[in-house]
Amino acid sequence: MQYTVEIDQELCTGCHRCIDVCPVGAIGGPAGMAADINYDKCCFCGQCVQICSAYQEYKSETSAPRETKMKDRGLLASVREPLFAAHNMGHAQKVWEAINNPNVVTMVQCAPAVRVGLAEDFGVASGELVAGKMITALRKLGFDRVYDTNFTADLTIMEEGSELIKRIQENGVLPMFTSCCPAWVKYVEQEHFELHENLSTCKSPQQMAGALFKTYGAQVDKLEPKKIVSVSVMPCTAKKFEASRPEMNASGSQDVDLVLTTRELANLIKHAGIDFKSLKPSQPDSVLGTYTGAGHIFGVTGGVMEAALRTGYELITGNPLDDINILDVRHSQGVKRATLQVGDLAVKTVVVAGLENAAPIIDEIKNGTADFHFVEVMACPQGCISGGGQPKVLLETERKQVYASRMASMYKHDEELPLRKSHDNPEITKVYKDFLGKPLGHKSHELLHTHYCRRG
Amino acid sequence: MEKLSHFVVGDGTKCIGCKACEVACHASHSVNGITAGNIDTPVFPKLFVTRVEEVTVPVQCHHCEDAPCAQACLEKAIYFAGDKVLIDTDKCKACKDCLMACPFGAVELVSQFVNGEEVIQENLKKPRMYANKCDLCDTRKQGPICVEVCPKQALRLVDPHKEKKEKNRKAVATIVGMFKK
Repeated sequence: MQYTVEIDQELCTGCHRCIDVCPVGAIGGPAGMAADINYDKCCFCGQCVQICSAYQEYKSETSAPRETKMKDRGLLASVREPLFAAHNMGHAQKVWEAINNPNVVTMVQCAPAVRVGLAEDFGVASGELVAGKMITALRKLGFDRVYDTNFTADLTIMEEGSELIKRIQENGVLPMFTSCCPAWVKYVEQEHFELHENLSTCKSPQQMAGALFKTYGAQVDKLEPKKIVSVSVMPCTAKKFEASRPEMNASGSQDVDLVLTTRELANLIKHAGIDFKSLKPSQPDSVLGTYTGAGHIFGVTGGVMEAALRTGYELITGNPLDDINILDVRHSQGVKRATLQVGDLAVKTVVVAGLENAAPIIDEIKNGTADFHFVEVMACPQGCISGGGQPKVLLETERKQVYASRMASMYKHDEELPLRKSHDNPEITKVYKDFLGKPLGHKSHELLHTHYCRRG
Repeated sequence: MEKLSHFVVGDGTKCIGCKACEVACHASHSVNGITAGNIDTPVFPKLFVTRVEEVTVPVQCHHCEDAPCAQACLEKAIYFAGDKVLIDTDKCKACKDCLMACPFGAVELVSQFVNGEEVIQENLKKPRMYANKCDLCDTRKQGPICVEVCPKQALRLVDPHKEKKEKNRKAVATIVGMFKK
């Protein structure tokens, strides 16, 4: 297993703010002493990485100099920002090698929340949407194909929405949990394995994209799958763990080879000497790059739920929603419950923002009092926009406003997009027609669904 | 009577040693951006979280009325601006006299960086250095950022006059309490 989050014992001052912010009680240590991570409990959400302010002082007499620590952390030699005690393992160096290797074909995908955080590391105000510039930067870096995780977010909705309807109609295991947050999935596997059947069997959008890159993508581009290096850019540190799960190899090899955080992508762009601010926007490559607003809002708490309801409502009733903006599932401050009338069925939903808030929901399920059908859980406080791999906010006093800006930007982009329902995405229709068959079909099951394992 | 200078003081019973104040100090003075990715030089805070046994507390300039650092500076690079003791970094010759004179160790010598690059002195083949210390966030309307960002409210801006008056009141209250017995 790949430990993606670490605390440098030499730099940690023992302030223990990471202990306070950890949603699963995985960090501990004696008062005033360096904190340590229990990897049997850690879900790699990276909130400790976000909050840590203990840094390596200039020319401090640590056992390893800055250069050595940077190498150990997988950071590019050009990185200038301070080294903080809590950090995630980086893969930018490996990605740099891949994009400069003429013998491989690099394919990249970016998660929704990346495009509302990335610009912050270039001195731009919080939450500015840079979807187009991000695509241009990835091309300039040398990626051969620039696709989008938003596309597979739409695909996830097709699969997960169909799965939810099936479970409801056939008296399957309910409530169904979302499964796109790898920190949440790991938490269920290690703390509440008896509820693993409640997890949707859908892979996350990252892993669906990875599986398609080396199968459908290879087929479309007439490429040898073994030559493909599949890269993802995520606002998340747990995605590195998810990509390394041994079962994530539906394509015949690891579906996602390398995962970068948003911060690492910023480092890579700087390393290449690209003037990010002056870039002209461009579009991702077809077929795995077109997306709708529904796929895009995966990046905020309540987004998966809203996207699923937009499609589910229409699939069941045959009519579109009166109002596509389902405000009742947005802006969860912990646990937010809502009921949506879908034909004859009152669909009851719960949106959990922040893994520490999942406990009462789990208790209700275990004691038989749960009356809801669908639960979305995101480990990070406001969903992926506040992920452990997002640009690290320097002042705690600004964090709330920064997250609010990122969130507002996500919804604004959703409203601006011509298509806002996953099932309206023409490329989704095409991928089912040309390759997958139908949602929950044999090929989908093979490539887009997964199983879970007991941990701890 | 001359208005006494304010200064920031840390409470060792509250401080957890997280260095959020140091990072905020550097960010406020030297970073154009809200995230760590915008830091392109080493972190040079103007206050110094210091640990002695189990106690941590930031140490910073007291803006002394007689400013021994300013007294010691032969270049007259240290001066009073209102009630703040400030350093003119262009005048500073990095002679370290202020560092020696300060009773708190509140002055540090740091390398100069321009556009993220260390300034190297051609003749000496050495970085250009200057004295660096708390300026009470001189140009920041809201006052010292360290006070604002401390997650444990361990820092406060001391107004010496108010402090004295408060202590006077406490002394009297103690006496009143004694008589009430």
